[in-house]
Amino acid sequence: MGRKILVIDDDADFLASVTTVLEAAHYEVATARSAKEGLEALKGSRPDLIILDVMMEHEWAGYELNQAVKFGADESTSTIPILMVSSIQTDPATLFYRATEAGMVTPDSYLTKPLDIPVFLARVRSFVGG
Amino acid sequence: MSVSEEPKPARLVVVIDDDEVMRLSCKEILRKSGYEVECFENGQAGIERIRERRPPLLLVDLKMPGLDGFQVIEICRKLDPELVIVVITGYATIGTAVDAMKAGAYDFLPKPFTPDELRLIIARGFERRRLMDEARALRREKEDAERRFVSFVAHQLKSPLAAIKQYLDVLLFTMGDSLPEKAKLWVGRCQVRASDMLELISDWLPLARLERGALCQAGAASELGEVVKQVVRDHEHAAEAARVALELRLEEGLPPVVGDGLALAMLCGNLVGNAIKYNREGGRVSVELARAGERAVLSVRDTGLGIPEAQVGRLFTEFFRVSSEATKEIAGSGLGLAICRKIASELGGEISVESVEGVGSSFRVELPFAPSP
Repeated sequence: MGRKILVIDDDADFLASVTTVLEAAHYEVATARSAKEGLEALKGSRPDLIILDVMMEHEWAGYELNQAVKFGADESTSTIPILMVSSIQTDPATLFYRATEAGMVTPDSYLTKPLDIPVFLARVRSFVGG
Repeated sequence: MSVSEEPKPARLVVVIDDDEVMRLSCKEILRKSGYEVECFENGQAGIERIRERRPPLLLVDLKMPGLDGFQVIEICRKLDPELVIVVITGYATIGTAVDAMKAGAYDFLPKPFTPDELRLIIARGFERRRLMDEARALRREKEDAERRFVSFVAHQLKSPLAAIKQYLDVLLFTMGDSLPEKAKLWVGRCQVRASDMLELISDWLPLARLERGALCQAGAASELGEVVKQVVRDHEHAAEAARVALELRLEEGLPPVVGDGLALAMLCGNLVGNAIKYNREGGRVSVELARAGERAVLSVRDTGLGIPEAQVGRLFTEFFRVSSEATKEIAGSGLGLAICRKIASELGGEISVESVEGVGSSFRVELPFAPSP
């Protein structure tokens, strides 16, 4: 109860549906519509989990944010777990190759959109409980 | 992490000639024209230096003790296909010069030659190299643009469908109990249709990419073992859900194979995914990577439904799907194996299958090792 989750995605419909599911599971949800907004949101609060889209302002925006949270100037964000979501690649192996080939750290976890809701909630629970 | 690289030797000429007077005069003339010149009296030493410094141009005598000019050309062509080679033909007949050019030399210079002749032919060689470099850069740019275009289309097509599907899922998950039975049924059908279409797009896009020749990165090499390990890890969840045992056996120490990680992961992922999907409860998938001569062999064996003998021949054809009682409930686009075959053949490899209906299938992919750098 009361664990905070920040969902960052440029797709308003995705934000709406995911917020509904998470709130139904009694999480407190904040949303951001871009990587930039997401970074702003992190200045004011410390979520227990970030759910992060890959393609936003540009193809790599999500990866860059993942990198910034894990290795950015503000060290206190580095321990926040990140669950990345994307509809681009169905195969996480290929997605991770793209990240590592670009010299970026792979996210803590990854799921393909549309999310399988029971799997998604189980994954969220594995990070924040509840 | 890369070793400190020497700046690219843009004006470097390597000269290989056993005749000392020849070496000294070439050096003198070319240095005055602003070239950097390194001279070697035998093929072995020259090739060693070419390997280290990657010069744009090589000037080599055809007739030398030890490695002769032809052998040097042959080795250098493999070492750096873009190296511009000019041969010096001493005992010149046009015949040997033509043979040298057939073997991959760009031009020839018959002895004796004047300083102007030398300068002219070297200048032409560098111009040739510049054009080759430019053409390659353009080709890369075009490939990159095509890759970006395809991922853009993927995103544009899939995002709205994913959003629709997500709403339907959430609707049933959070409010399903309050919906009338018929509404629930229809929402369920919409989910299935949206899923099918998403899968079709996922499968079709890489194929579109392949047809533009932009899926496999030219010149890339990858550790296939690492790719296979990652692919198996990523399928553990699916295997568990399908109650299929997933086994992996890797031969260690294989050299890297031709191909980029993305293409190889797609190839392996399709095979492993299929082996799980077309298996039976309590079945097994064995993934094995081993070496066979100059090739890596990946085999993916399942204890699944198998393929009727009459249909095996069409298995790797686009949009072909095995039709049998056992598969009719399993959704699929019929593109996965077509993609596998395209990737394998684009990388200079092969894919084959042996299957017994009702017993299982065994897919075998052979991929050549990458040429050592």
